[in-house]
Parts: sequence; C-alpha cells; structure tokens
Amino acid sequence: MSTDWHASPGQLAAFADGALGPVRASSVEAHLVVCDDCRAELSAQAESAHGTCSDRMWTRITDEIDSPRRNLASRWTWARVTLGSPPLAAATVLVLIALVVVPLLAGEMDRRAGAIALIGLAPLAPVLGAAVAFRPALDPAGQLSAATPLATMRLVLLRALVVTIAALPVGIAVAVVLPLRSTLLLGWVLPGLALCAIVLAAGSRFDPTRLAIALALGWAVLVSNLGLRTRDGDLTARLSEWVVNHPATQLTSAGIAAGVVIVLVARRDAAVNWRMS
Amino acid sequence: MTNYASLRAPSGALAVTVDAVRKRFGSTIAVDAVDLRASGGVIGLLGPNGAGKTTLLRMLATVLEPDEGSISLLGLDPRRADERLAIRRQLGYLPQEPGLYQGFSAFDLVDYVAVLKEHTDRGARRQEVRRALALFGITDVMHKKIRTLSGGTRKRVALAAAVLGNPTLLVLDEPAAGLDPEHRLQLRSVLSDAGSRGTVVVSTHHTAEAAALCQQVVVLIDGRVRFCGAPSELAALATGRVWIDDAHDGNSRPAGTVQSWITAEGHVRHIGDPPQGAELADPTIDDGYLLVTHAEVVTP
Repeated sequence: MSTDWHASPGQLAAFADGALGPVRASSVEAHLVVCDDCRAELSAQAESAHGTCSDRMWTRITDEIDSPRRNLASRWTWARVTLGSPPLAAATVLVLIALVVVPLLAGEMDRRAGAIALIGLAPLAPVLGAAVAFRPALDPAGQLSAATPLATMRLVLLRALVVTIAALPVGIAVAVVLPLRSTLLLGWVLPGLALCAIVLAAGSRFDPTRLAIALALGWAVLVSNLGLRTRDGDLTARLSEWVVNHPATQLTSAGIAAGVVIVLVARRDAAVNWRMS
Repeated sequence: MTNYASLRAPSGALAVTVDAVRKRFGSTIAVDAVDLRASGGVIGLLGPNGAGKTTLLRMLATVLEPDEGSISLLGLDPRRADERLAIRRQLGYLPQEPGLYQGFSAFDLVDYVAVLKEHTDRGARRQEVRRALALFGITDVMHKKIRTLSGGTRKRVALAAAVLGNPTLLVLDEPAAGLDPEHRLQLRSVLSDAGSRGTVVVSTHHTAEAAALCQQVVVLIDGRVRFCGAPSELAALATGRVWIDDAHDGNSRPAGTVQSWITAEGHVRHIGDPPQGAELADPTIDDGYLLVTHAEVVTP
C-alpha cells in the first residue's frame, strides 16, 4: 500500500534519533507501518549512519560500564594523581588524624600541653606532605610513573598543595575546639607554609625526608623550649607573642614561602628523580 | 612559556644516540663507556644478569642521569628540563619491576598512568586506555583488582601503560619475562608494529626472542658493549666453531670449548675448538651469544 504523502528525510532522521516529540513520532510510526517507500528510506538512512551512530552509542555504553566508581578521584584528574595515589592518600589521612588526636588528647590533660602540641604539630603537616610527595620509593607505582611528563616538580607541588589545603581547616578547627586564644588560631599557618616551601625548594637537591625530619625537630625544639622557659605565666600568651604572632616571624615566614613558591613555579618542569639512583 | 610543540625531533636525527656513557653506583661500574646508535626498529639488549642492561635502559628512559658521556633521544637532550619533557611526551617505559597499586583495578591503574601522561580529556583518555588494554588482551579482566591477577597479567597491565599514546620511543625492561608463549607472541606483534613506526629498545634473556624480533642486538657484559649488529651477524660469529659429536658424555668439557651440552636429540654440542672426531654444525644466535659472553675465545 502507498499514499501520496511521505515523511521527509529530515523527519525520518529525527525519528531514528528519537528527536521527534511523542505526537509526531507516533504519526511517523503509523505512516511507516503502511508505507514501503518510507521504510526503505529509513533503513537506507540507518545503514549509512550505522557506523558513526553505533560507534557513538558503543563508546557511551562502554564509558558507563567502565566507570563503576564515580568518586572524587575518578572525576578530577588533579585528584587522580594526588589523593588517587594510595601512599599519598594514606599519608594525608595519617597526618590529619595526628593533627586532631594529639593536641586534643594533650589538651584533655593540660591546656598548655594542648597548645604546645597544636603549635608544634600543625605547621609540620604540610612539611610531611611535601616530603611524602617527593618519595618515588614510597610509591609502589613510582617506577612506572617516573618517566611520564607529569612526574616533575609540578606533581610534587600539586601533592604538597593537596596535603596543605587539607591540613589548614583541620588545624584551625582543632584550635577552635581546644580552645586557643584567637591570636593563635591562624598564627601557625605562615610558619607551616614556610617550612613546607623550604622542603620543596631543597628537596630536589637534598633528601627531602631527612630535610623534613630536621626541620620538624628544629620546630619542635623551638616550641617546647619556649614551653619550658615559661613555666609560670601564660604560655599561650608567650607562644602568641614570640612564635606565631611576632611580626618578624610572620613576615619572615611569608617572605620565605612566597619567594620559594615563585622559584618553584618557575622551575615546575624540573625533574625530581633525574639524579636519583 | 616554552613552546613544547616546537620541540620535536629534528628530521634525520637518530632516535637514540649514546656516547661514551658511564654510570657507577658506589664502587661498582654499572655501565662503562657505552656507545649506541639506533634509528627506528627493534633493538635488543642481551647480556647476563648484572651486565648493566637495566641501568642503561633507565638512562634511556630519562629517569637516571649518566655520570659521564652524553645521551640524545629523538634528537633531544634529556639533561635540559624542557627537552626532557618533550622526550617524555613521546616515550613509553616499562621498568624491570613495575610496582602496581594492589587495590586498583587494571583499568584504573592504566588510567592513572594515562593522567600522568597528560591525557586530560576524560572520554578520549578512557578510549585510549581501553585500546592499550585490548592490545594485550586484558579487556575481560580489566575491572579485577591487581592483587587478584597473575604475575603474567600484571606484566601485561604494565605493558599496556607503557604503550599508551603510541610512543615514538619505547624502552622496555624484560617485557617478555613471565609471559606464557601465547602472550609472548602477542607482545612480539605489538613490538614489531611499534618498531615499524618508531624505535623500541628491549632487554631480554631470550636469544631466540631477540633473533625473531630485533633488527639489531647489543650484547652487554660487565657494563661494556661486547657485540652490536644484526642477529644473523651474532650467529655468524660462531661459524666454524660449533661442533656435534657423540663421543663425549656432555658432562666433561673438552679442552678449548667454552660450552658443551647434550641436545634434545641426544647429541653433544660443543662451542669453541673442535673436540676429536666432531662434526661441524650450523651456528645459531645462541651459539654466537655464548661465544661472545666468553671473552677469551672471541676473535673480533
């Protein structure tokens, strides 16, 4: 059977793509049932479009199947190469747990101890992050990724940045919970960034882990020494005054951090593993 | 900002040029005054354990700096940061012991390496990961955790990561080790294909593998190049020096031979000076390799 009216090629294409509205689609479908010519036209269209259309659909299907995990690390590439790396993710979590547990436990026993623990620990979190970010030896897949374009200072910077950003709000939250006087809340941030920057800058020449340990010990000695010298009097006031809120400390820290970061960004393509044996 | 696109291999440049390269670890000299030239095709590194193959390959993969001498890859200098980056963008590397994240699936691991190789577009990256996995026949197990995969399959996962993006230069450290014969054949076809488009440097213990695949073989002993040439030339070194006889029991080595053993057919095969009553036999690449590894018998 045939009729005078025929569906246009454009209508048939839209029908095949499912792009017609329900009303038009059912009308075209009713026509197709009775019209041999339009059926032939539709199947010819479908055949010529078969390759690209089915390829597109196949890619969509496999992509759906291949993404069973729709988490943070699979969605963003920066997360994939930072927290997606199990050793770095584990180190970050450990650093954050230590940052919460140690000062709060110490604070339970003695408020002064809590303050010392936080001021002593918080600036070290980014340092440890930087040191861990450097170590291909700590990374089981480090050998595999060593010769890739991204395995340069860029990757180390990105990894250190992720740990630092994770440590910042946690450190501040702990300071609020303890509670520390408000001047101490943020005072540790710049010294922490400066220590981290020093490890990053010197880490391609010296062993970053040893450097981080040395800086961590130095910082701990400074803070605990101050704690010992101020047996009487308000320790947090002293800490606030001399370590974390002293303008000279803050300015020096800010200067070091800014300077080093500028140098590092300029040297972002430098390899970190080129000299390693 | 450096324009990396302009940092392409100058046309006509050799893919691999190694000049008098030396690398020591403490008091051990791992690679000693090595020269090497390669311009496309598959190059096989042969040599006993500890000969310096891995050290040389790591230097060719831009992850280790030579103490002395110079290396040029794809016409670029790996000592310069910008040129090294340009090399790495065209490089695939399989380490001798590729550590893998045990908790990752094969797909996720190769995808992770693809991100490090700057495949930023998610859809295109996943398609490339699937292509690389399919090349080594891992498609059906690609969502299984690495820790549940066999050693050979893990090796193929690492190989898939190495060939991501069809690199111009492939540096593979013992790619065939741990693979069963079927997958070895699969690897052979992937490598010969890669060798027809670019340069592949592989280390291997299998002389037969090298003979079947490589246009050029390099025998490395104690960090020095002892032989460099076509596999047929390595076999030809043993011309007139391979003997078959049935008089000896194969347990004792007649004077003047470097190696004697009983073959599958029950004959005793000698390499070196002819034992009494022996007949001359056709040399294989194995014979040539054994002669070369026993320096005192080599006639250059």
